Amino acid sequence: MPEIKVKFYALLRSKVGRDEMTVTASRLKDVMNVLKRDLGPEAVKVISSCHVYINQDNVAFLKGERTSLKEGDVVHILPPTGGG
Amino acid sequence: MATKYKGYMGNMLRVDLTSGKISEFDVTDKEREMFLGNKSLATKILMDNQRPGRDPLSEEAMLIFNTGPLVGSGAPCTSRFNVTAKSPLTGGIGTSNCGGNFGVNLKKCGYDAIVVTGKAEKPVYIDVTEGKAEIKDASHLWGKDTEQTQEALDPKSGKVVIGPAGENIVKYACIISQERAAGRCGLGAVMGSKNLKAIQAKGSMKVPVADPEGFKKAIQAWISVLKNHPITGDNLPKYGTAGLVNKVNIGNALPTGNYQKGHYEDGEMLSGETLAEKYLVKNMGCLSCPIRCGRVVEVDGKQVKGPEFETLGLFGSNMYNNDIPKINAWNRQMDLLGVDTISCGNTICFAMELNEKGMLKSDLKFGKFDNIAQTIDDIAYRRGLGNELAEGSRALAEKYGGKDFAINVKGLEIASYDPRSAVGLGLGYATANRGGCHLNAGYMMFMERIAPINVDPYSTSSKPGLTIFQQNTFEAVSASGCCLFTTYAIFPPIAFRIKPFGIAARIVSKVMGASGPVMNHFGKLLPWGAPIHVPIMIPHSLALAKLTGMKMSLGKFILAGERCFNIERLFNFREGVRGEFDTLPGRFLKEPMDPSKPKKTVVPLGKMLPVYYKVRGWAPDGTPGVRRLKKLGLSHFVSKG
Repeated sequence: MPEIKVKFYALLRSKVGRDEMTVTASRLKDVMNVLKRDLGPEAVKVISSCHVYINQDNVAFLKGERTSLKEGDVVHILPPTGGG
Repeated sequence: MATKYKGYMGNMLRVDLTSGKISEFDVTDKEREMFLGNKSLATKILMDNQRPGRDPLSEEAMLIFNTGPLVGSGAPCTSRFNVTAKSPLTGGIGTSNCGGNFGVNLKKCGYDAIVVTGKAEKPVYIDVTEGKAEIKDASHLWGKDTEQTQEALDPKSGKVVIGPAGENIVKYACIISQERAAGRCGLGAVMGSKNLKAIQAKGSMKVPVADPEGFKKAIQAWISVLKNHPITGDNLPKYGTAGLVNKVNIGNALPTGNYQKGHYEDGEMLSGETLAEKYLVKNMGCLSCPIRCGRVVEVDGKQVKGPEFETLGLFGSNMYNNDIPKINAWNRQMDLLGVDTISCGNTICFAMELNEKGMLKSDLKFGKFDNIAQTIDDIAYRRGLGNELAEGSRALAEKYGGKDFAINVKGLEIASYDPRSAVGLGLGYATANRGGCHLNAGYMMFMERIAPINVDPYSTSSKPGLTIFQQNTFEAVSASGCCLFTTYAIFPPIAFRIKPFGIAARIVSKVMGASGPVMNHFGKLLPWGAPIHVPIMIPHSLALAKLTGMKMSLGKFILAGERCFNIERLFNFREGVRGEFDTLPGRFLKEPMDPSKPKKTVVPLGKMLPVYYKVRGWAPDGTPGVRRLKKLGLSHFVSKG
């Protein structure tokens, strides 16, 4: 299975206690299952309100959690942010 | 007080600096109902009183400092005042909104607005107290920076001041109040052209309220929404506007190398997270603001205002700089000199690319930073190349070429978002009345990248309708005297419980994207079909009704926003800024950001603009249509010519 880097941002970093982690997964759903198992329910609750990008693409416009992953892909998990 | 409506002080000041004459005047209640206040009402005053085609730096030019009814009322995020004039940078409408302490204090003196005309023989400032104003000598202030000037004035007053850039008529000089800036459109240059160094206001009057109990309840509920909202209650206080850097960078929209790319490898080093972790001393806020998005950082051992998202992008990734302390120092320098960081950053990066292409030889190079501070100084004092950069990117392109990569719209340099990765924002930039402004554009970046449910950022479907809805809403919120950050509640806290990448969000997104015709008419229908308030999403209309006693509703509120957008458009047309100016730099229309997806990575403006015009009720060439103007009560401006 491909090795995938998962990066966390903003308030999520303090919830999960780290900036990034590496998982092996072939679909985004596998990544989410690992996060659920390793990070605990509070972090998972925050993640469920986050935008998720694979490299530079928002997975909402790919196949959601069914999106396939390949070696070297980076999954970005971004909590709601504002500015402008 | 001449007005039946509360929330207003019912009096305005007119100060003619040529004759020294000071008088009072007021607008009608009908005008208050139609235009509310701030930029909207100011543009109406400008349309009525300034002859077309005037040089914005001439004696005759008007400079209007206006407030909205909510300013000073105690409602959240309502310290916003507005400065309006014909812009010396664009030749079209120049408006700029600011926090700081001036607007609230002006109302405490019993005035809703000050209209300044003429030119003083020597430097002056205007001293406003309760029911009175005087023109005073400012020779001792001329040459001082914005902080020194504010320190030299009455410490208990609210102030607006210019720095050396305004004195030297830098076309993108700004106006400063406390640490906040009315940054855009070069209104500091208009102030400088009148030899007006500052205005201070000190009073103790209270803003009258029509229904104190109802108003109190409305603003308590409003504050609760803001405090419990994931963006205004959590993210903005912790990371400020810089919190967007990573998201925009990952979304391929962070300007890099004068917008040659949308992704910067070192973006994380410029992020709100890095700023908060390494450099933030504390956060700060404007008067009456529970959000407190402002950053305080240290520069030369002093605690000063930190950079906004825009400045981090334009003085960071856009020139390949990953060093926040450098940006902190330049940001401080520009605030002291009174320079708009957005126009300045864009113009310097444009000069860097001109140099790279051999079109204008200079020492400005991507990745070279030891001359940036000197360049900023040279711009403010108009020395050497700085004198040319002080005219802005459009003027520079007219002289040296490179129009396609001079990143401005209508002469105003654009904000720190590349529209090729959010094409609705591209439509907004192109149609914004003041030019390349993300806010006057309707900030479609929110719908395309930030909101819990996004619309496809590369699709054109439904973008005209959504852009118009956003533009009108932003205009109305500004006219009321409120900060635009309160519009984040359009997606209320409950919407953030929807998983953005889950099936429900994806279905809603697809439906929004596929329902182009409906969405395109959504904003148009709303004003006529919404005699209600929806305070959980747009709390402003209810607060206004309780404050002023007006028969206000959500529909009337958005309609006031549409009226504001149209009167600005009419001002532009009168000044020759017509439909052909509704375009984008060639880079965004012709140069694909991602060559592997050329169709997706330019802005298909030609596809969206005709629909936008039609939905607005404008002619195919962008001229506001008489039928729609009649409905807005603005058709007399057309018949007048």
